Amino acid sequence: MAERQGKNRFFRLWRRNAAGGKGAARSITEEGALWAAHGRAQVSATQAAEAAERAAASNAKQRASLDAGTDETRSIAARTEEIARHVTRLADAFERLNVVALNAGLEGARLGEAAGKPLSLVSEEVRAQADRGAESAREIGRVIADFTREIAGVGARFDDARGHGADATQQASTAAAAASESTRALAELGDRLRSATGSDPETAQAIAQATEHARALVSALGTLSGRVPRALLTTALRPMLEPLVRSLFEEEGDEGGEEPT
Amino acid sequence: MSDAPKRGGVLVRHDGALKFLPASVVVRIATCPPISRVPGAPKPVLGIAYTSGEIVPVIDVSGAEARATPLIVCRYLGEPVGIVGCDVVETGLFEPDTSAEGAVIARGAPARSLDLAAAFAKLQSTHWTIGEA
Repeated sequence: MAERQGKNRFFRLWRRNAAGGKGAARSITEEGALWAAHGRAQVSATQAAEAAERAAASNAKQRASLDAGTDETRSIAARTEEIARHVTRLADAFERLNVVALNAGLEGARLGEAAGKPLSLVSEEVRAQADRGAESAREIGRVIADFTREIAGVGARFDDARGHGADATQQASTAAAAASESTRALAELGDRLRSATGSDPETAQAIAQATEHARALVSALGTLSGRVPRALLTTALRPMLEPLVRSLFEEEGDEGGEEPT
Repeated sequence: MSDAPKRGGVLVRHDGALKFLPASVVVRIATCPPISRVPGAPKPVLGIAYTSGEIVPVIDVSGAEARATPLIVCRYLGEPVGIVGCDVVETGLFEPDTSAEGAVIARGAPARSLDLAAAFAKLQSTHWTIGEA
């Protein structure tokens, strides 16, 4: 039943196209183009909605990664502070060791040149090593200070990226809403177009194809005209054209039209 | 090199110059402990500090802004006193410099004795001021 109704609509529109001359043909062509544009717009709106959803999902993943990165940066910063405290204690220990060595040297001096010499030698060696250790500790402290600044910079960049990510999420949400609204508007437009023209996308496409085929047939017949006897041409085309003519004018007959002679 | 016996003590850098403190005066060297300020004390006195079981007055001999240097605990005229404001360069035995009393030759240059007597005299001649922190 539905198939018959669709067929009726097709032939009604096709006949309107045929009967109305060039103006009607242009109209049905415009309708076809309108429906095609409507279809493309629907596909694009659907794709935009899907893309917005994917963007939102990607933003959520990016936000999770940034959160994890920020946590790790904070953890590294905390560990770095801990290392800095240890290095400070190390530098302090070398400082105290240096003072111990100075006191050992002083005691060696009190004992006199001969008796105090071993103590003085030990004192000098300990001081030399303590100085080297203290210098290394200071160097490590400087490196850690640089590292701490760099980590703070990385943390700031993570914060920036989170801010941009939040903006992107907002934009994706806006795009999703717009795509959804576009889909709804296009559905409404389709309904109104269907109501205004009495056609639908499938029928319009079928008519456009039929029109193209008819034009091609006419063109082919024009090429053969004069070269092939008309009777031979009629005999050859009759098996294909008869069902078409019958279909067209049977439908017209259903609507009260007359079959042409 | 002279035949005179070497002098044991502490070589310090004070106002850019090497100075010598004899071992007979220096008791020990310590990392500088917290110093408690004494209200009204004259300027060279930074305050008092507790070190190795005794409380010592601490004098800043630098004449400039106080900075972190070791505390040199000395005994002068029987009284303990802590000195800050000079860097300890070395301890040990040094060649005596006969050109000046109490001086030594250190690192190829003469190092005069750090004048504790003058620091003490300045300290004793300065009046304490009530209300000055």
